[in-house]
Amino acid sequence: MNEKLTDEILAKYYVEKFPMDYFMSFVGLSNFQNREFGFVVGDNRFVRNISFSNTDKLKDFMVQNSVQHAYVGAVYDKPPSRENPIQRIKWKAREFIYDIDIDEYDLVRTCGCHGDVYCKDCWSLVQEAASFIDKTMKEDFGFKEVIWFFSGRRGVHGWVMDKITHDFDQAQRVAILNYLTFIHDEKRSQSIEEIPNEAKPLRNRIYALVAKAYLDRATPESLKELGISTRKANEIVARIKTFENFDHNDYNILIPNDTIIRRKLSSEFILQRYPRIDRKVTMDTRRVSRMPYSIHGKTGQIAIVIKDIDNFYPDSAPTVWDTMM
Amino acid sequence: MSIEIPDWYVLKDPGEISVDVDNWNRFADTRLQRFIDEDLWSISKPSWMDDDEWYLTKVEEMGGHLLLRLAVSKDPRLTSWLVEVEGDLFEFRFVSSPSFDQKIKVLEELYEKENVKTIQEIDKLFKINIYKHFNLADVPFKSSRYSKSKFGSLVKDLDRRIAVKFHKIPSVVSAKKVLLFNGWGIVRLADIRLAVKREFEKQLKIIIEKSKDLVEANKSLDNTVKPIRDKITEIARKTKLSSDLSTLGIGEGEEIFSKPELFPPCILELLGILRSKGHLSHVENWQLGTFLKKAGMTIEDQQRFWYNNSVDNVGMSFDEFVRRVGYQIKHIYGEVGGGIDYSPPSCKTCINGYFCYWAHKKLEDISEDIKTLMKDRDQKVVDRAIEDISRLIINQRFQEACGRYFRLLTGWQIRRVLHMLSYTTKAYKRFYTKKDQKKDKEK
Ligand SMILES: [Zn+2]
Repeated sequence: MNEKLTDEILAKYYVEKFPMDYFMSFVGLSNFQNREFGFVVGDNRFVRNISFSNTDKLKDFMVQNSVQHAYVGAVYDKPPSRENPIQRIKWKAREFIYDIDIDEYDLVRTCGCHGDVYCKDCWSLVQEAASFIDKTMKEDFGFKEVIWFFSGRRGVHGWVMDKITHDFDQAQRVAILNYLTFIHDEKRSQSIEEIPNEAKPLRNRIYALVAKAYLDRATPESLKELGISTRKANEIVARIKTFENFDHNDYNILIPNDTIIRRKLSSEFILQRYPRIDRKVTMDTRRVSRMPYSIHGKTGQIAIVIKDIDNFYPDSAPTVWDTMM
Repeated sequence: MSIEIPDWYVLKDPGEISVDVDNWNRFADTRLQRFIDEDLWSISKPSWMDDDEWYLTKVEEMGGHLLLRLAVSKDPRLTSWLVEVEGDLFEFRFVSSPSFDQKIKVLEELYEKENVKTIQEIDKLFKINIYKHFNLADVPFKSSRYSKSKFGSLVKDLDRRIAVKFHKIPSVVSAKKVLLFNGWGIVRLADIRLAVKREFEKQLKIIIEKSKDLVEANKSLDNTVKPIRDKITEIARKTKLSSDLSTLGIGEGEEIFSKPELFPPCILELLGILRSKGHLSHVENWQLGTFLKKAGMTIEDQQRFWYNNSVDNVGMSFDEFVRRVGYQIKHIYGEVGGGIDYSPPSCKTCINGYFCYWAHKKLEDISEDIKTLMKDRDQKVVDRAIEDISRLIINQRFQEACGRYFRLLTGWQIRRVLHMLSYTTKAYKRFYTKKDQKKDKEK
């Protein structure tokens, strides 16, 4: 962080720079007054069950309360407040959100980073995860738009904008999540589910993207450990970079047609490079998540929209001080 | 040609049917008897039957079903019994219907028309050949496997695919037994049939619950359905739908309820929730209460137990508590409300509407629970079990997950847990019956 995040600079950002119109284009104007907000204010006090009758009031709140972190939650049947906390009012709708954080990969990061620390090498895991999910949402689930935000520190959030998802109940959200999940108990046993026969588009995408990313980084030695012959391992490593649009057909040709080897290889590339999603964020329809374009109180960085995830690196996200220049 | 909703689909609007009370009761009686005999029958118009006779058959079918619906509506236990037997009948009729078009029609009824398409319609809509594009020829057929299952060679079309909007079939999406394309779940009937059955059961249950008000508001209707209701109640009393500890070799007077190591995970979890939150939902109360009864708790023990653990008792004396909320406990023991000696629900019923630890708790928390509980055991063994259990849960095989857990806990095999009491009985044999342990060693 360049300098101390003072109350003045926070207020100044929310007065002068916070793009309320852009923010509103994501959450929508209808039902705005019934939308829950949450904030970390002053010295680390987390307040929830707050709602605003209009955007000016929201802005005023953020300007006046030295907001360190700002979060937006679900829509309810009446405005959430201290008298009507969200547990006691009826849930109406919530965006469908993915959260990918680099520290979810701690057990498989080989670059030496862990926790909040990242480098170009391990950040590629987050980029690949976002692209994979983005494609799956559009091609398999038929959603039209997914918007990716920088979370302000060590990850990204994907918001599925299609209205139909807003009414999904927990079972429907979990179903999508389970469809995407291949690594179970990610932070401990990391058990890997087999790639199913029937879900062809998903399987093809795993070969085209996840296997490719893994093989791009593989060495003949690492492949030999999976039971692949020396000759074949050398061939794979030599040829993988020559493909222009690697797809599942290429994978099927390149990899030996041996069930045991294939199974070992697929568990390995799933373990090493498959998306790891924070399930709670996607499942829990009452959770609040970082407000797009707000300031992250620890880094001073802005939760900006990521236009091109393949070329986005957190260091390039502007800080609140950058916006003042 | 437009296909009509088949007459075997009992949620179909019956239209104008008229039937006198005597016949109505007889129809319901016949249907009831068939359910008791576990007879699964289909109805379709044979070529030799004339229209009048066919009409009578339909009236009997619809009338019988309607009356049973009304008869069970006031009692949640009878409702879940009817939903279960009608669900089995529906499943049989659905998978054995010789007409694929009729199946599609039924899916359109259950999932709404705009959420169901044929593969040809999908191909046309997206200008694609799904079958070729995704090389579906290389997915092995399942029909041979199903011909060995409970409906045998009667199953038809199970390897044929249809398209259903993904959000209508979350369990199938969850298990990845579906080809997802632009929001459409392209799925074999074999892989969707259980989800279809569950949807049918869900909708039937809603309809029955709605008809409760109708019966309660209409005294003469209530009188009409009474004979059948009494009969169903009687059947529920007689048929041991579930195993009973006393018949399964657990010594009389054994206080199973003081041995929580014998409790199945659903019961342990309900106890945990009750202790931490002070209340459970109505059906969870019922599940726990009937279990504790079968585990040997007397009615007085249970009254004391609920008094000590409920939040409803704040500022209430024990006697006051018994007077005010004791009714349900008495009901469990059959002292009020028909005098039935109720058994706890089967695993299938728990999964569908009561509480199943494996079906209703989050996978992450399950894995956390097992780790904590087994922290002194060989971690590799525990991890392997968690891995197996996770896979079974994800594939919706909750009863097998429970069996796998039982193996981890006891070293004894149960492939599938069918009932919480059979879990407890087996655990009792494992830990408390010396004779059985010896026998097992000899093997
Ligand atoms: Zn790194």
